[in-house]
Amino acid sequence: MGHPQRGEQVPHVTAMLKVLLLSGVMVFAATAAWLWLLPVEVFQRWAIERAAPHEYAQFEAAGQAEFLVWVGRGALPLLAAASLLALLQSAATAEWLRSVGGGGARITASVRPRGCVEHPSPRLWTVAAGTWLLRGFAAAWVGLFAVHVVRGLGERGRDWAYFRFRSGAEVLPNISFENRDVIRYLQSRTPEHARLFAYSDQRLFFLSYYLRPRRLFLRIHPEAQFVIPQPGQQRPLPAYRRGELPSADEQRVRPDYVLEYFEGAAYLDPARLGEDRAWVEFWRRRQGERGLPPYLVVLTPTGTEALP
Amino acid sequence: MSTAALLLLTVLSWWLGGVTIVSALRRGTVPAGQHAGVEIAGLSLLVGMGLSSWGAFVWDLAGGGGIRRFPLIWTAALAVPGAWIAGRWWRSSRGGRVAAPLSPTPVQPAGSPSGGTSLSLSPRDGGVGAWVRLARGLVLVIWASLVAQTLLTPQRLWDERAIFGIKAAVLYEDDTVRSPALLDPDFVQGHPRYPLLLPLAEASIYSWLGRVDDRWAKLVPPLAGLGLWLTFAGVLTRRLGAGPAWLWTLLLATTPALTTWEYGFLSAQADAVVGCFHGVSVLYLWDWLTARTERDGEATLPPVPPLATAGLMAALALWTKDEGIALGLVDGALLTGLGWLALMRNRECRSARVLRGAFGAAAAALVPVLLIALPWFLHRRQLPLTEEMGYFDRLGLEALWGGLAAVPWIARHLVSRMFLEAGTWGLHWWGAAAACLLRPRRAGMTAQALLWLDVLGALAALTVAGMLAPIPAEEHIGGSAHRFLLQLTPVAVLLIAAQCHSDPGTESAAHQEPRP
Repeated sequence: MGHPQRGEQVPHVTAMLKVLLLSGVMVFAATAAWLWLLPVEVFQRWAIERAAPHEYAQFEAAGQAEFLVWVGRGALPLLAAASLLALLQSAATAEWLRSVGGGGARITASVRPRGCVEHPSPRLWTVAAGTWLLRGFAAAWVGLFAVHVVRGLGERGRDWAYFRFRSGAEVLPNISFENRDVIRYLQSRTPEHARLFAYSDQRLFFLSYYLRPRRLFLRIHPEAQFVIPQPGQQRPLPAYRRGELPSADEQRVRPDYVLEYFEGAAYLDPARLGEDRAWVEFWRRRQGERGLPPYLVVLTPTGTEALP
Repeated sequence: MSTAALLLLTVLSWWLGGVTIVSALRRGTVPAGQHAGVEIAGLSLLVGMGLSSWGAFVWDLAGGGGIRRFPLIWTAALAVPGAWIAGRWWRSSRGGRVAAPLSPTPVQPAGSPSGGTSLSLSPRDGGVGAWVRLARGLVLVIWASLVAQTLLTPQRLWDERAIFGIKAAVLYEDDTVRSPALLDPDFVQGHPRYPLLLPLAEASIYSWLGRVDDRWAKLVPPLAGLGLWLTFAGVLTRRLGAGPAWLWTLLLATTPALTTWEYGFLSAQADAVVGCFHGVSVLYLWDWLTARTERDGEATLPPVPPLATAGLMAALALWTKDEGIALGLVDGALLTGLGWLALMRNRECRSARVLRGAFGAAAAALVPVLLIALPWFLHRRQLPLTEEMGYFDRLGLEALWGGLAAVPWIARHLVSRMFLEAGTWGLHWWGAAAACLLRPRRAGMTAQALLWLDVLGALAALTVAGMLAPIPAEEHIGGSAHRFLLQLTPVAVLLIAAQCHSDPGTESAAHQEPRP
């Protein structure tokens, strides 16, 4: 069967295309109108009702719903307009689609290499099989990408719940609650360009990152050098306590403050949990608790810098 | 100025500076044809981003006076001439002064249904032109969505903050690569000896903005991605034709490991960026090995010297992350091995002229590597050693023997990551394996062999690293193999493309080669 020539119309194909485009216009426009007419809160409530009965799951569901509604509000009118335009130019659209399809077919057609035609060795595949294998592979690839795009949209929605264009310094993302509290405490108690020497059973990367332009120093214990930290003190890191390092090592970095921050049971001295009164007050205010924090934070000025 | 305008200025400065350097590599000649323009645009972006970062490093080391000032110097010295050069190229291509090689060179067999080398968008191209336009549009849409997604969140992953982000911010704040904090062994940062391309590129963005804001610094990986895609499309257009080139560029742009996984282009981790530089380096090595100069038409002649470009990209890969050292060593060893093999198999190769040519080629690739690596390695010696694994120091027979027990686990893990988890990372490893197995003769050709040997060599290097590391392979390789494999993704896609779409001239040449 010969392919239609350029410009030649295939009535049933064009008619089918018109039906598809018309359906597209109606579905996209109706959904866009629905999204724009109903308040975002309606969708958020719907999402929260279907989320797991957990505070964070419901928080994420609400943010995700808001994000997806706004993506829909932006994208669907554009898709409706594009479908309408294609419908009004249906003959040209059909021609373009045929052209694109023909191009795709040519590109993915397996070519019998020159010089192979008369080659006596057995071939592992035929040209036709190669063509369909390549097309199937490309289709599977694009299909997999589509699955990831849909999943990605959901993930961006969850991200939206937390970030909403807020900076990392504001959100302090992807770190423990304990780290977050300690960062906020140190930000409130030390001047911007302070130098802190820390003793800790953690690596404190995120404290160093978010406390900038303060500079945070910590001597890594040799036994902790190649230990990969795990969240939630699942793997306590060997660490120096204050007094275990020669004071010259501490003084070398000219610290304005010394920070002791331990979460692991091996390093917790219950008698010292309330030692830093300012920390205890800070922690109580943030947590709404009355007792002592379950981990040790003691900030001591070295005398070169006064507490604000 | 608004943040958007300043970011645009940053990108333009990198890109136009890259145009000037690429133009110098081309000895000032005007690119012929649209595909050359695409290739040069992509390459300029990578070159500009990489070399502006290296330039800031050398400038400051040489006492130039601060890295914050460098973006302005780069703009004045390179981007402004780049704007003039780009304008000249644009006018030439519009004015038709240069005969654009849109008509196919005779590399397609008569009656072949394939896309052809031509970028001809004439009605007689059987729809390839329309398909190519659609693919280009889709690639641009994917890139725009990538940028939007990337910039939706600030930096939030472990390495992007602990290793690269902290260095970028400190470099900007201290305004020198000799930052006392970064030189201090007790300063809290991840991997103090990691290379500085990404931190300095981020610091350059902060310099334009006048403040640290880690959201906007995340622009670097998507820009590297765009550079990779355009260069990939340009080189493949020359070798395989516009249709296949844009088909595989589109598929490269839709690889989940690079595009949709949060550790790929969506974050400011260095893995995807290394993947871009290494991928383009291998792309130009493959291009060079594929070239048959005597039959190459104007359309298939590389617009830049391929070996020097491959060397430059390999150097930028090692200036991005330490894996770049291993990848560069693998490729260097492969080229040496393949050259040695050619020498053994073909007596004509032993002539003085050919040997001189081989040494010239090696020098072309090595000079950029030495230029970029030397100042970095000299500076690196001053940086603290806190948690660096020190693989080269540990390398020895005893250590390797001791690490042998880890090999079965590493092999099983790699197979699982590459093939059993294809739904997560993409189908490229299945495609690469199938393409080699189904066309074994073509896979045996030198240019193709480079690609799969590069992958095997890289996997071997990772295995050796797992054997030598002072931590269990389950943790070390288990937590990093997927990011390392991400770096090899462009090579895997290139391998599939090169296996599926023959450059028939090359193929027929291979069939005419005497069999051993």
